Amino acid sequence: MRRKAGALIPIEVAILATAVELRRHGRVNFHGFMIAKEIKEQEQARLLTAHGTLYRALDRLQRAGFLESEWEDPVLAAAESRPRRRFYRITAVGEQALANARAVASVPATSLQPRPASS
Amino acid sequence: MIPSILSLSASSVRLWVHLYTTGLPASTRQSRRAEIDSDLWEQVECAEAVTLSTAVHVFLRMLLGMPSDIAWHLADLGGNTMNRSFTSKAFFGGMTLLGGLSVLAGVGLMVGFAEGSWTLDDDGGYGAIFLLAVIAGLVGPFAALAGIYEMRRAQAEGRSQNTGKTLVVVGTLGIAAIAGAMWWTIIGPLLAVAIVAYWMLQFGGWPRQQPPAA
Repeated sequence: MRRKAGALIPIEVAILATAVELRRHGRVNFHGFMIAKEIKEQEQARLLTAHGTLYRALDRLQRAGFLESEWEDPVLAAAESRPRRRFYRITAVGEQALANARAVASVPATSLQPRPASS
Repeated sequence: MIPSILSLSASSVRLWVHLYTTGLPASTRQSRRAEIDSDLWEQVECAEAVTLSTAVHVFLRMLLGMPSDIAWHLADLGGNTMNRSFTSKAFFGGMTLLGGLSVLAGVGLMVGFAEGSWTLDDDGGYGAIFLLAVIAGLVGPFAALAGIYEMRRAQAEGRSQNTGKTLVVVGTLGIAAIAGAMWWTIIGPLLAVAIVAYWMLQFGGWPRQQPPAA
């Protein structure tokens, strides 16, 4: 099934919501594994989000302008003897998209029913 | 033991990432590889203890994400004609090579039969020849089919059809060679090709020539 243009799928909503939550706790920037771990904890899932699912969603969100990213300074990573991290952060457009997605999700099904014709 | 299994899991992930990012633009390719590398490092570092379950978890994350990886690869490739062309060349290069092998195997079989080198073994079977014949018989038809497909695609895109023609010739020679030696080995592959061809024609898998713009 093809999704509507601009519509968010559950993993994208989860990423944006987690990004907002992380920022509330002072973490503006996050990397892929961090978001996967947060989502796992929030959803009490047994497994972390699969690599393909996670990074494809991050890529889509970035292309849509809902996230922006930058690579960490290689000197910092080298100092800690680990690979470089790619840090993401949510944009204002991303926050708006999340709010829209939540608004659509919270619309009760009955309100979408056609009203009976008034006599 | 456990670190070895974890290392095997991580290597499998890296190999898979290497495979599905091949043919994409260098920046996209390097970026995805580096990102997965970082993710792997974080996951192992974050684990309280490296157990068998960590290794399985790493492997499962790769396995469950494969459909998304392929979809992502195709979407990225679709937006880049140059790289699609690169992948196409790599694919048809591989098919030409296989078609060539098919011809060699078929010719080898014919020469072997003509000289009387190939004989039935004690059990009345063909032994190792059978495997060689099946491989040759399988490859020829698919090379020819790939050639026809490439010709249609080249026609639709206004490119030279020489690659496609070469594949058709090589594949047909492979079929002819194997048919002369052990004709019955090509029945199965030909049926498979017919089914694939029917499926592609039925569901619009063949590229069609675009009508000229009005």
